[in-house]
Amino acid sequence: MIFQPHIIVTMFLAALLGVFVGSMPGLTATMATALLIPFTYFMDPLAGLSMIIAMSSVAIFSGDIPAVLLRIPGTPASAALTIDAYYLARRKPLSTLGVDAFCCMLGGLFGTSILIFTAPILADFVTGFSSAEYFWLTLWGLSMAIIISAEDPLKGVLGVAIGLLISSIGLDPVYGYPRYTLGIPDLLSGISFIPALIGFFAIPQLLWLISRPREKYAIKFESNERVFGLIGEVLKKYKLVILRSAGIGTFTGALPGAGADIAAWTSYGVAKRLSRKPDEYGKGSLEGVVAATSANNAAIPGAWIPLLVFGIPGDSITAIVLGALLVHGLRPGPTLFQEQGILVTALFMAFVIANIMILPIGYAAIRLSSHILRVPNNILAPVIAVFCVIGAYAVNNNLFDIWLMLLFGIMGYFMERLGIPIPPIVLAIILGPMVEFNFITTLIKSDLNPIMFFSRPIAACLAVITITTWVLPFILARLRSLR
Amino acid sequence: MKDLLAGFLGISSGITFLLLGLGMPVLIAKGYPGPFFFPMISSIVLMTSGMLLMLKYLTRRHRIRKMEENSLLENRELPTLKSFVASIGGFIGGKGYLSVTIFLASLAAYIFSINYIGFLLSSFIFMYIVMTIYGVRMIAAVIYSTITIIFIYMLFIVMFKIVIPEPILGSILPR
Repeated sequence: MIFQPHIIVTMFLAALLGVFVGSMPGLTATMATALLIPFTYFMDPLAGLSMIIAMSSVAIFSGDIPAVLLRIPGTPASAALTIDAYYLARRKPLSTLGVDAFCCMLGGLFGTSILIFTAPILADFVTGFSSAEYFWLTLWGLSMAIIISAEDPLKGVLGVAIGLLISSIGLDPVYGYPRYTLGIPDLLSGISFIPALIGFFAIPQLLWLISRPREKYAIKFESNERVFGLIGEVLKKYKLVILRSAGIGTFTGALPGAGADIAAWTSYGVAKRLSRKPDEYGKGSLEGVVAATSANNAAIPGAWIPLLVFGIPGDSITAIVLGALLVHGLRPGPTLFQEQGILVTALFMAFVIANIMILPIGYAAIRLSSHILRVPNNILAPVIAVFCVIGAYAVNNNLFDIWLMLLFGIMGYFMERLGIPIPPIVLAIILGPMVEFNFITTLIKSDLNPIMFFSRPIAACLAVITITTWVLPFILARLRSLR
Repeated sequence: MKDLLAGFLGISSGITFLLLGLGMPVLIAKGYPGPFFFPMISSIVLMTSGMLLMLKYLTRRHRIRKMEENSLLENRELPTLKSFVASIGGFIGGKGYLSVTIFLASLAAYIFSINYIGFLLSSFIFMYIVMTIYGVRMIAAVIYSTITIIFIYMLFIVMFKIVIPEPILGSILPR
């Protein structure tokens, strides 16, 4: 099913887009995913989702290109390796990038294998979940997003609350009562998901680009250096580092709100702590680069585990993908594995193909990087703005959605400047109706008896995990201050 | 300052949502949670986090002021209208706050014009104007805008058959 020519060609073209998006500082894989989603409406689900898988996998690697060559991360996921990679690149820029591409491929394949083996098992496990379990699970997802994404948890809570209120606009999920519609008929169906995502993720990036209109990058390097010249040394010395980092990356990617950037930093930190030469970190450590790059691509398939099994996105990209799944009538959860098993298997194969593609496409991108980075922001920003507009419009053929996109874009821009993180807001917009629906359903089923939230063993475990997640940061902060 | 503004945003948004939802039932028959139950809780959480952020800012500011009183620092500049405007501008967009404001205004005008002159023409004009404002040569701006419009037409209208807003007087382009 995945090896049809139109799907392979679509994945290849999406991978090329991923190279461009990842290489350009200021453009992110999340933004590109938000822009690609409207395209997927007009394709079959497999082609559309494979396109996003290919684009995001290659974009995360391509973000390392300006990080290595210019000391500017192309995507947030590249920040962890920037300094070490830049030092290494002073002597061997192309082979540093070659190591990067190779470790990204291995990390991505490792994460994919975890996805393939664990997702179906977890889907079987989830079959017995009731509204009480889903309530705690979605609440835990929101809690994790606050803790992981926000430097200041208070701002994370503020973001989640804003997201929950935005999600409450429109008809109530339980009673169908119109809320906060202000007499506007377009708001009866609620806030359209994709324009909100494009607004929150793409518009602030555009404003960042346009605040530096003439910026473009020029690089030069020797053309006779072998791109994959250091692979032998990496495999000999750092196989365990690659394996450990890929594991950390996959696990971190599976946590709601955590993405490739957190996976890369966590893996880099662990590698430094366990390294025999920790002093080299920050001064050109190849081990540090290997640790960060293996983790950041492993997080991509990792984020699809909670998405496919529970319908809870693992990161911003999968938050957007959830919208695409719902538009195609594919509801994540155990029923997806039962009713669309072939599609799910094909998606797993798409991950394998996308990660293998990193090597040849990465090689071409490395050789052509000096040309890619020459596009100035004053050309890029208005072109991307037009794509944002048509992306927002194409969902419902409604001009109102474009105005919503602009409104959320301005909101997102100011919120970022205030230090309020965007991922918890978006996650709350997605999960808010689920939290509310499951909460009220559980209360109705139990005739207002709150014990129902804790009476089932799995619900009780999830409740303990969720409450511990709320309380643990305060306990740890108190312990630190007592020392 | 960011904490103060974020706190103010939280409190004002929470109050707004609470006031807007006053007509909705909090509880319905048998005491089950009604349509306003969850928004009410979210609004209270929003206001509480806003208040805590403002409190955090004020207590930190008090500590800093105490430290400044005890320090030997002199030559503190008095705030002026210029520095206040610069701080607002800095808050809006840092070094390029004027660029950001002009771009947002252009984007709003572009979206407004779509309904009257159609998507393709308004997009071309938007891209051309923004590129020339931000330093792209006129010929280059025309070329890049034209290429983008042709690409959008072929991809979205011909291939995906999306219905896009057309000019009031109708479109001359085939589908």
